[in-house]
Amino acid sequence: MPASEWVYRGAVEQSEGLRAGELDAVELTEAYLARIGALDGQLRSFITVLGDEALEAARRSAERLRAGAPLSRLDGIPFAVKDQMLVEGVRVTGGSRVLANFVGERDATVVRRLREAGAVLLGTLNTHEFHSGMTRDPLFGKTRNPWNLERSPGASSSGSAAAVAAGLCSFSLGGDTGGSIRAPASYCGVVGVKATWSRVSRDGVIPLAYSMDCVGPLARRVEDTALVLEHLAGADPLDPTASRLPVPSYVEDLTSDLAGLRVGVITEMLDPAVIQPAAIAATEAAVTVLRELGAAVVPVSVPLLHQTRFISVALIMAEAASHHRKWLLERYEDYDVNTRTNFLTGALLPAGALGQAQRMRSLVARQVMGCLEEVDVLVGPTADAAFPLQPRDSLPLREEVRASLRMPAMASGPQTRVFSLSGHPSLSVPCGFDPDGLPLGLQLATRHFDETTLLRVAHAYEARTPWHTRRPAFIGAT
Amino acid sequence: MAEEPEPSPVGFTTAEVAVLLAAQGYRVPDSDLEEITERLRGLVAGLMAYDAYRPFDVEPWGEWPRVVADAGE
Repeated sequence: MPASEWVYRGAVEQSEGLRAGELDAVELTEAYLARIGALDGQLRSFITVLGDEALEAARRSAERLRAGAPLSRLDGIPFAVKDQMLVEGVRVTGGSRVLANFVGERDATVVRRLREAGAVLLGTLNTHEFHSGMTRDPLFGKTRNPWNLERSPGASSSGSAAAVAAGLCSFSLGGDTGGSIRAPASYCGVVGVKATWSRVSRDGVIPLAYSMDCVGPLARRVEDTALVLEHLAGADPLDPTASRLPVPSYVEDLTSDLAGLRVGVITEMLDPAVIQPAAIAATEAAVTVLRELGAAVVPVSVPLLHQTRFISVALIMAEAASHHRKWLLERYEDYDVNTRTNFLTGALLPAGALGQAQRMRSLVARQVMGCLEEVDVLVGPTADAAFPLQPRDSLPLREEVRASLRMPAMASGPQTRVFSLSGHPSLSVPCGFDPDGLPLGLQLATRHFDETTLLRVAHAYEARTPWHTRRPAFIGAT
Repeated sequence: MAEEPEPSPVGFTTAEVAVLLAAQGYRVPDSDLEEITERLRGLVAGLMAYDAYRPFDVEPWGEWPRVVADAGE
């Protein structure tokens, strides 16, 4: 089978092909580079493509595989990273003119761990400026959704989701502060995992809000994200916030048996006032599948869910303002207007209001933890289907701001922000399509550090449904 | 569940916001000043309306997953 027919296979399947000699690491990397060259001009998912370096790394992988001595199951697997993580000798911009000429002096811990496992780095991926949501004038253009080029791939791990969906890499890394892995994964029909806050090192990762920032994998199959997360997670002397808890073998723990599992459906996530009917219907159908797999399903409530966007935005603005103070003083005009006005709003937030947001966060976390005392897994829709690129982006800024601030209960994002505030592990797995053929995602969440159950449930659901087998009708992607 | 809080208007003026920004060393264009003022008004009003949920009855977020889990090692 030619390497070009392997590009849509999962990383675990590719790894088996590499070790069995059915697939060559260099040919696989060449196949992805060819697709990037042919398709990414329209998609704009990549910022920097490391063609020569990737081929050299692939040659070394091929030698190890031929010798029967791969470094890991990721040896020879091509991946790409959000332009948020340091890569030695490569421009890392955070999608901002402020860092337009910044070159990484070393690898971020997550990049180093994957390279030490033999994974082949193809390049860096497009993102909204400093991962803060909507950028009015993106430095590297707007990434498009492979399922419909006039739709957004979501933010801020836009390139990370689009590249995986379009078959331009085997897997990618993204960053998630309020849903920036899970929402793009949902929009693009791939799997995206935000582990427990502190499960994965943030060393060498450009921050947005330290108390919520997470790094995680996006891939076409759940088992691929499990394999990558095994390599990412764990203590790191370069990041004192990284947990020292041992990392289990997520892949070995994947099963399809959900007997005895208790699933809680968050009723507020199915409120038609905040989520599209198609997303509600897809979630309800997914819950039926979980029940068929042996799970006991009950409704649960997170009454503060609709307030989470507001609380999250306040905390992110304030934390980002602190981190960016030096550049805001020296490079103000280099920031996108949306980013800089957001960050300076955070700089002016009165301490009393910030304290209010921090205490509301406690209440939200208590509600989520209360639910997880009754059930093992929480479920709900990840997001609406992907929104149009142009109309939303061309809204007058003031109108957009008024809409988002004065009607927080109506704004998008509470589904994912709730678990960013509470620190719980959560993921998005494809669960269907809307009437326009756009992907929809099912969000799952479990107790702190219980990524094993999270991935096991998603894997069982995926194995029982056809959504992961569909590919976007993007030209050349079939 | 508490009743949905209704934000009360918070009347920062652009001139007041400019003074607050200047106190931190920031000088911004007038167009940005209007946007920041608009955002600040909405954000502060929304957050202070949360009194209805009695956030003063709990401590600020302190249940950091790493701290809790690692303490049990």
